Amino acid sequence: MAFTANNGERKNVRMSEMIISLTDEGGGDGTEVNSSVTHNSIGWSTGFKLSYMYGRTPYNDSNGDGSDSGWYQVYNLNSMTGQIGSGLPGVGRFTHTRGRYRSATGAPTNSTVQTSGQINMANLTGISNYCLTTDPCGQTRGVKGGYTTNTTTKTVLAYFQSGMAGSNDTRKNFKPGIIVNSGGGSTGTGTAYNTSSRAGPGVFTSSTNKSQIATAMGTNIGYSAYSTRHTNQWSHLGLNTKLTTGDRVIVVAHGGGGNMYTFSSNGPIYLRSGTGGGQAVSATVTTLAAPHKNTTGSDDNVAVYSAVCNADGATMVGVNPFHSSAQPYLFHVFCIKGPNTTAGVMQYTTKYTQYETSTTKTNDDSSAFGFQTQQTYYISISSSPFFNNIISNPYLYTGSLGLGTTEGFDSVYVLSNGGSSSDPGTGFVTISSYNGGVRGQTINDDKYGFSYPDPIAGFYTPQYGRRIPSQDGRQIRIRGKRG
Amino acid sequence: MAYRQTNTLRPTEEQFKELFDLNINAFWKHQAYTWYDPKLTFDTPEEFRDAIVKWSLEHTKIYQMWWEDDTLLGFRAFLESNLQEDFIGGMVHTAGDDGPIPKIVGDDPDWKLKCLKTDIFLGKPDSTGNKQWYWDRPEITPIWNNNDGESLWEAMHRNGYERAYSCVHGSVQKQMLWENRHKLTGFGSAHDIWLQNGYSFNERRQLGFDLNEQTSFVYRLIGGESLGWPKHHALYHLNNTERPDKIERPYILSIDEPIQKGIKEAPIPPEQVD
Repeated sequence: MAFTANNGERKNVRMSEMIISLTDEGGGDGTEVNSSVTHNSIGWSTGFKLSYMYGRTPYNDSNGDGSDSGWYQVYNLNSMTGQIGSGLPGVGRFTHTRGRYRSATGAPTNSTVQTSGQINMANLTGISNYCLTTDPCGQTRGVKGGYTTNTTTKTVLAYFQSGMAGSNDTRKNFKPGIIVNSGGGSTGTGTAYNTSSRAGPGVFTSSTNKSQIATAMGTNIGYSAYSTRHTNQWSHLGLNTKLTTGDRVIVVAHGGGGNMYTFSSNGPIYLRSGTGGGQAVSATVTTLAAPHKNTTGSDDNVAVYSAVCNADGATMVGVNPFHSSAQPYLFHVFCIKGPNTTAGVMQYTTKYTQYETSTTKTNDDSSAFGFQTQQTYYISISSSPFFNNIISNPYLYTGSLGLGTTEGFDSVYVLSNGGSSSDPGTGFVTISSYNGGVRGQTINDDKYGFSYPDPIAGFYTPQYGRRIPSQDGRQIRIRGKRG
Repeated sequence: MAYRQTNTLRPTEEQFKELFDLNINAFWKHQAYTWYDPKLTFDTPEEFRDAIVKWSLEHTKIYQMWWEDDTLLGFRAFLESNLQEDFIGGMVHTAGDDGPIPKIVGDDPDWKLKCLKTDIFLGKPDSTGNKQWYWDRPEITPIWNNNDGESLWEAMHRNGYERAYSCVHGSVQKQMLWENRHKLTGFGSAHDIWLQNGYSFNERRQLGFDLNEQTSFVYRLIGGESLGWPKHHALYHLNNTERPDKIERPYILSIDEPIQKGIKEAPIPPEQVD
């Protein structure tokens, strides 16, 4: 079944519109549809099982007895499993996910997934477990307005968990809807890439060039990065999507030496619709981490800002490298799907001065927010704003064009290298859209004497991945919940 | 002997337990930390301690830690205002939208995101053998600036917070703090602001300002104006009129350098008119 550019649109709703991240054994670019692969008898090659169309309550063992019947995923595989030791994996959706129903290029509507009644297919269009936006809604990356001189859009190479794990999870695919089937030659050369690496519903590039494939895979994702070399001018950076009320934009500003300044007259970022100057979009802007200078190794400065949409339609974020002098800057822009998002910076001040050619994985607490049924997301940004900067890409030459099946993160974004005189900076980003549930354990007493079951790790451990570029850099870790 | 405070470090579990054990009678026998008698819900003081340590290390945003040279003398924890403190989803009523803090900070729906609250305090004698440093050392105050980037103000600014408050319900602690309220040193910071009305710790109702019972909170707004509170407010305690007018916050380069140099951020580009 072919994917089209209007996935998620509120017209001519088709089953294929809903496969955005919910492929079972088929889907993707259709390679396996009607093939000799044995499908589950109740499965659809489009990725749906009828019995799984209702939203499923995430596993949340609030009484700590270990027998709750919620649903969870394992290692970000896009297959849901019932309570421990039972239930066949199936493709489905959690109650905290939302459809992203929209007109051709309009702002989406977050459609609550149904848990009862007649299924309205429109509520399932564009649905995805992924924490970032996956539908550009007619938008693209790029510097759309404001000060555009010396402001460059970084190329984003995208890699996703392939979902080829153990028996029960075999052939289940992953989020956010781009299939990377590494089986059968993706580590080889030549035309093998054409036949065994598949992308969809995003952009699939049939190529023998892995970078081209990975770049195409990142086409629809709500993560962008931009480099600048000026100071104290506002640039309007494309979000690569159109946001709806409740969505959240997170901007990581990473500048070189000198001093990054705190904004006093305006907020540190703002949202606009359209292009050029655009129109203001109301948002609640907060500083998640104020400017912090670190003089270890090469001096640099980092700050993290956030804007939650109070209205629909944002397509650009206004940023300003407000600094004591013109420095190389790298802005990382994330679009978190709402509603009900939170975001906190867990780490951003430590400087790393060693070039890293392997990924250091750090576990985080899957029950950090206690017993709750929202999705927790974990973002790690290994960032360096400097010139002459190389990032070691683990997937470029020998990799499988996809993450391993037991990583604690489901996607990796690798930025283009930093140039010698223009387009500085590079980075390495990992994302975990955690759906592993929250388990309980023995009853404890809290500080006020109330008894409660203590949340413990879910069914896998979310992770951050760190991979510092060749120039000095930092790891910024962000954790929040959504849905 | 050099006293200092840090606000970017966190205690290790061992440091936490050591300080807790030194004060365990206050917590175990006299309920200095809990609303309820911990002896009714925990079997041993150690079990009680371990639960508190785990909970605090998981949830504390900033630890204000005090040092004598390299010896940790004590710390207090700052939590987010929107943190639920028990499993039924309850919060200290101060953090409710009809509590005293939002009434002071005004119509700001995001106030919980900008306000911290104090939690556990632990301390031990310094090298002189007593705990008088609680009240006498200027390095303990929330406005202390050691010019090393470790001030509480900077920690709050760096984490996106604008202010912090403290609520205390134990009568002994309340009385000690009140007695030392005019000191410019230690916990008796004359810069703190007291609120007129304390809330009950287990009911959503105001109980006034009472230092002699154990069921109501007394609130202090930490660090006065320098930490983001308005200068005057109807909910402030009447005796607050003699608070210092103004305390300079620490120099923060990212804020103060552009002010000194007269640099302002460029005006944002105008919207596009079709």
